[in-house]
Amino acid sequence: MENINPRAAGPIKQLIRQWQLTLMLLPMLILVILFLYVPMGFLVIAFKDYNIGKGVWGSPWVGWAHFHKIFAYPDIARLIRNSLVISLLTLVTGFIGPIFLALLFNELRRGRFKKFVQTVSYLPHFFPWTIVAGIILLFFSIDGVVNGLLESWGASKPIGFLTQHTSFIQLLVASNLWKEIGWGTIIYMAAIAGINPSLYEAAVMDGAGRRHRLWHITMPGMRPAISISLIFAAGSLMSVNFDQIYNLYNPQVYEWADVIDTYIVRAGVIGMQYSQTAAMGLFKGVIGLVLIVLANWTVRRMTDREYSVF
Amino acid sequence: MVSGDTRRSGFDYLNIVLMVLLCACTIYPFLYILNISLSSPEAASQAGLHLWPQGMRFTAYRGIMDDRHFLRSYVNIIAVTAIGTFLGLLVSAAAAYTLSRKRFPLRKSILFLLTVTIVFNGGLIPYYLVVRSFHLIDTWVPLWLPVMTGVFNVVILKNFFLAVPAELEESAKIDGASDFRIFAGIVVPLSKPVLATVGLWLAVQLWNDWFTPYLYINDPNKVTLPLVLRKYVVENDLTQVGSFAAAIANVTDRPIPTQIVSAVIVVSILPMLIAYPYIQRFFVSGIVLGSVKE
Repeated sequence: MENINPRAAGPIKQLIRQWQLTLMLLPMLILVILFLYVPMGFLVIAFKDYNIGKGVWGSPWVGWAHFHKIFAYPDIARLIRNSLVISLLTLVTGFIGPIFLALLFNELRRGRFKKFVQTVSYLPHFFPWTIVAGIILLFFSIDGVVNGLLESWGASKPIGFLTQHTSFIQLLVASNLWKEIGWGTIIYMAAIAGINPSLYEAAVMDGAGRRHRLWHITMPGMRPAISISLIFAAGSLMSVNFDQIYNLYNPQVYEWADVIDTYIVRAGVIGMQYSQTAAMGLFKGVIGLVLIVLANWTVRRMTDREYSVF
Repeated sequence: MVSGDTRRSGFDYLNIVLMVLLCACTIYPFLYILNISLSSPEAASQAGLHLWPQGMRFTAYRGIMDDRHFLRSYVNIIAVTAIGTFLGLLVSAAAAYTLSRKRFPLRKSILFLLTVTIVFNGGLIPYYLVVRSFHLIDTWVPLWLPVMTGVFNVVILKNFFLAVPAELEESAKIDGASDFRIFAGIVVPLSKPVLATVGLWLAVQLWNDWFTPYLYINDPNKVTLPLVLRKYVVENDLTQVGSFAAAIANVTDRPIPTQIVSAVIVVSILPMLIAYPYIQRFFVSGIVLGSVKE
């Protein structure tokens, strides 16, 4: 009835006419603008020499100086390298692990056992990294549980799991798997549940063995879920799991464990070098954006737009 | 699984073994910590697997109860979570409802504006500076902002609201009901499962968040549990609880630091552990909800 108005009102008039709806939208919109868009505006400090006293407008303009400094900064290569290495390792294991585990879950026959195992596997996901880090520290520090056990079994010297680079990185990857592998299987289980069971019946009648069914029915059925995960994984290449690293690392492993995000918090928030770290954050954000768009475009091209996110 | 294989193959047994290992791996650390916190100090300082408590004691827990700081932070996190979940749900659901009404002007543009924030935002430093310029440092407001500006949840709620039959709204309009009325009286009651799921998501997010309070809260009276937890468990700063331990007259009864840390961990994860069996199905269904494309 209201739609067939030949003199359709302009947007502002409509907003006022539907004032209740507008009102309901307003709080969130205002908050988003204030706290998500205004900070984007603040990003301009990456191009200025921000001085708290002078504020954003009063601070002098320095153009690309900070970015030049970033690339000239000897440690930046180290930070980028660490970000990439850690994130690649966690990404690959964190991507393959749940797929593998989902396939294993799928082969379980007893319903209650399967449910129990799945429920248990989701548990670590719900705890914050502070707790998990606390547990890891308890177990793997020099005077921790593992070293204590090793000593009682006759080892001569405790192993510095957390202070040696290789073992630290291994701990990062392993603990991330421990925490997230169960939870990660959910979207794959949902995808598997959506596979038409008659496909399996037909395959069995054609004499397809287990492995065959897995490769030709189950895996293709998971393809949408896999490609979405892949896109998001690719987009987050530059952003490591900050919570995990910040709670676990120590100066002895900075060489390989200090990443862009941890540096930004140390130097930026605590050290108050706002401009430079804002520049770093911008740099990282842009790369992340480019990566996710690239990944989405690639999947779009490869699967004829079927599985892309945007 | 399929009518084809009725016999258990070697692979099936291997799978079962792997699953048992997985469960053990997941549960063991928590079990260990629980047992350490309940053992006597001598038993706790001995190396070993500690599959059960030895010399049952509750002294470590009594120490925590005496720690005002810790208790305060517990109260705070409950308050922050309760208020934040309510606010977050209110703001998100209201916005989601509006965005689900096709007759709302500028709907698509606003949606676009909101989705942009998922992939790109100003970054940590600008965010921090904005909060600072609004004089919100040392208040709980920054803790609630993430749940009130979470576009992801709004999208999920919006999709759900879109599925509510249009006839309900139309007939209500004919009866003269206002938009507020329709939302509160019809749509919300119908959406209880989704609201519960999203609400739980928000609650867990708020309960576990240590980083936002780390950045924005300095006042010791306002700190939340995850933050205090971090101090004890990661930074190993046990001076406060340690003073209780030192106050126990009998030296052999004083809990060792690892016991205190363990007890702190247990007390912190207890609510989550208790609630877990009941709430986990909400989360699983939530993921499925979220992954179904429009």
